[in-house]
Amino acid sequence: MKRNELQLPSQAHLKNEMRPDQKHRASSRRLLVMSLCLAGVLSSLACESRDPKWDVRPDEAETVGLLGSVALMDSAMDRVLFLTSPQAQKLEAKAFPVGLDVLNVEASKDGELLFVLSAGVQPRLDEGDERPQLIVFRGGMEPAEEKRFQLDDPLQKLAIDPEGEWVIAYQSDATVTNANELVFLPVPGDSTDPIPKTIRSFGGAPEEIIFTDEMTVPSGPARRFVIVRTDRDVTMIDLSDLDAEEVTIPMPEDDSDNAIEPLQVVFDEGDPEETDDSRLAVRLKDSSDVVLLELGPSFENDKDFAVVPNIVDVGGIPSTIDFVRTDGGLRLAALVPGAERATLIDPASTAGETVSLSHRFDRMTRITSLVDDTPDGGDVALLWGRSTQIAFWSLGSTSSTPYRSVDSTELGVIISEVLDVPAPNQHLKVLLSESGNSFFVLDLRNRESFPLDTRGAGFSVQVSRDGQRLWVTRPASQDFSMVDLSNLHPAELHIEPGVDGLFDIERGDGGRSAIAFHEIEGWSATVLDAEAPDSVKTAYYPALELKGLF
Amino acid sequence: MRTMKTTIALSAALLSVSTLWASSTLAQSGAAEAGEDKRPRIRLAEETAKPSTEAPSEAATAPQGSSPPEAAATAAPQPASETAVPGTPESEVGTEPSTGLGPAGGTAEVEATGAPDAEGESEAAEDKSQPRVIDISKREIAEEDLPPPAEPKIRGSQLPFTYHLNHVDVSGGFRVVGTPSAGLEPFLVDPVLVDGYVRGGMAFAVTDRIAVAPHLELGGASTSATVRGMSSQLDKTHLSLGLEGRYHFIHRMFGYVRVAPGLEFVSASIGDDGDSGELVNDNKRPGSVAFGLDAALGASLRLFGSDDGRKRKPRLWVFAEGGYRVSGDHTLSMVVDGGGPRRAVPIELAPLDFSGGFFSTGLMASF
Repeated sequence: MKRNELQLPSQAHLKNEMRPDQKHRASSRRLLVMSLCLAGVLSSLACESRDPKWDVRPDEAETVGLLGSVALMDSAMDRVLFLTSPQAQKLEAKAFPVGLDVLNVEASKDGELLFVLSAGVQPRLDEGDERPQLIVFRGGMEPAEEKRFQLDDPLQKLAIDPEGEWVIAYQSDATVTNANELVFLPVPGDSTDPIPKTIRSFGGAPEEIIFTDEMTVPSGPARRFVIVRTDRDVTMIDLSDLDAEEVTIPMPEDDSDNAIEPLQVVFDEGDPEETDDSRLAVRLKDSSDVVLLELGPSFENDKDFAVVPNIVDVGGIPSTIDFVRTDGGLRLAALVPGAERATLIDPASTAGETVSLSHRFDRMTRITSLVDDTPDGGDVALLWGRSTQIAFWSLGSTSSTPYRSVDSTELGVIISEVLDVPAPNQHLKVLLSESGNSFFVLDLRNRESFPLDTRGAGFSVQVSRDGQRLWVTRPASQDFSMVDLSNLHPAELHIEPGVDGLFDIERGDGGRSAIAFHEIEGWSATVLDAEAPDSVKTAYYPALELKGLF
Repeated sequence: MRTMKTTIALSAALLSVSTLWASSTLAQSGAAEAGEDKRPRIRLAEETAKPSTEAPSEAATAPQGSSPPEAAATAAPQPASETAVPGTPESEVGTEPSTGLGPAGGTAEVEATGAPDAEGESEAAEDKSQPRVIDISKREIAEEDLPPPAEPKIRGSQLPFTYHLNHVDVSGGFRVVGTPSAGLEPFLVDPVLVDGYVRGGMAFAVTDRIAVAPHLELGGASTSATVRGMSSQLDKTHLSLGLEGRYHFIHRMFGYVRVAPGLEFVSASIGDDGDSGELVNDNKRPGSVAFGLDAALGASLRLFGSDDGRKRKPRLWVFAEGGYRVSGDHTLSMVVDGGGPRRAVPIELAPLDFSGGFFSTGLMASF
């Protein structure tokens, strides 16, 4: 480079404009300012946290077995997960939203429907705050929301019609509650309008709601009733006309002029050909009296029937009552364990007849249709209770059993509960012992009982809905068994981790799956083939609480 | 979440500190160059130019008071003739103003040296002992008669950028990425992922001020959170091969555009090693690999080191960049680890990606 090519800085300095290096410095500063702005923007982005659902810990699981699915309540996230099994060892989960603050979850008796009762936002301050509601889900292999009822008050209890026509919500938790208000919700159809009804009260509150079968009445068509049992009276509500005035029957008073608390209500239509012999019977607390209520003709033109009460003494404090058929006609049977006897009351004449029992029996259930050797014109009842005996009580004469005979069998343990087995093994009964160390499978046809022992106490037994098997589990235990009811062969099974609930559900391909639910470090499930369970043929599905969140 | 926010805050703080430092450094540098360093130098240059305009008069008056050799002898040591060729008579300086030619040319500036070098002194001494008489009236001076021009001391910032651009650099930093992917929510409390990285490459000058720098980057990020009470962790490693285009505003600072395609590897775990088992990546698919591409715009500011690009000495830079990352979808399949229940069915997590705007800062060492 030659000397004269050099440009002195002073030459640029003399010009009245910014030198290049100054320009560069200014550009650099601008760049830095822009970088700061960018950092600020990114910092503001960092403030937007993730969806809060990821921070919600699952509450204690509440599971409900349904026909073709298992409902797993995820109340913390206001949703229910339906677990279904499309194929062997396959599990799918489908989430549905439910109302806020779930108060009650119950399934229908047949497992077809699931009812979820929620309180919503309480107190409601804004128009958009969720109301109390009842959501009805179909719980088959393809779960779906059936309908949703909006309620005015957060009701807590549910009474579900076994016929699937009605569900009644009652007992609110509001500041002021009407304990005798029942909200009728029609299950079938498109109607989602609640029908509130306040029953007449003499100071009591509903304690039990019973749906009757169809009963004939002297005038008008046969109809079903809702029986509301309070602590001092019984109310009948005509389900065919909810606007009709209900019938309230006060219970008799004791020596202190206090109404005796009713404990049990049974009903019977009587002879289907007759329209005036439908009856109810009410067992009272600590009383040898039983209240008989006959639906007779009414002298008032606008009423289809009138309730005719009658009180009969059964000779001791009964532990249970039921209507039975004998070869002498309809009778009200009352077991009086204190006297080790049963009393048969003719509801028409209120005449009583006692039958001595060889042991103390507290409970009974009719098994007439389940036994082969059915007496003519009479029922057969199974008796059990606070003794180590069970008994078959024949209420009619047969070729092999004498009239009203009681045939008892020693089991060696006290039976606390008798489980029905659905068809095709409805002739079997499962007798659960009080200790939990053993249980019995009772063959009603042959009147044989098969003891099945468990390894230790605390086991629970459940019967599959298809009536083919028993599942014997113990909470949190890894060992459990399946008992095939066709041959009573127990299959030993072992899965990890421990089982906190087991459900036998219909499978999409026509088979059945057993879903063992685990509640340890989250929710998980193991799926087995219910019809041929094998510990080496399982599939473990972890982190169920994350289902539906991704 | 708190950790993430703290990290972001620290990042912002570091950036602010870096920026403030850079601003102050720039200001000091500007002040030094403009007020203390540059201006005197300009003044010196003016002073240098001044004798060139006054010298003829001095030279014209010299014969009046003293002989030309005397004038030369008295003129030689004067500092005003710093740019003059040592030993050159003042009159010669006056007639032929020295401008201090730098090897690089451009805007190079002559720096005052104050005194001639030793060789010059010896020649001057020789000249003193054996004075040469040059007939300046002829105005024809042979080139060999002139002493060689003094090599002026050149400031590095006055050198062409091409010297400056070529070097090897190694950098490390962290990157704050805004990641809105919903698939990351089980692992990220806040939608921001901070990853660290190291980067190495070489810069090659293309033209003055412009260089290109291919580089290789290896980085990783780890984040943990909870998923409905279960602990969760996600680890990401990335490897990218990028190309950076740099433009030097000044020697101390350059801006750049960077594009870096690469691969991302992701692994994750959910839960703890308990009875129900920890969820880890499926053994058959130990992780997820996806394509990733970073595009960034940034600037580097030199903190330490020489302006002189000819010196192969370490220099330390701070850089900041912003940009956008495009990431392919990662699909993670989680199974229970070996200690958990048998025959666990994998859980397919939602697809996740790391796409999003980012800001990054760090330090770079160049050699």
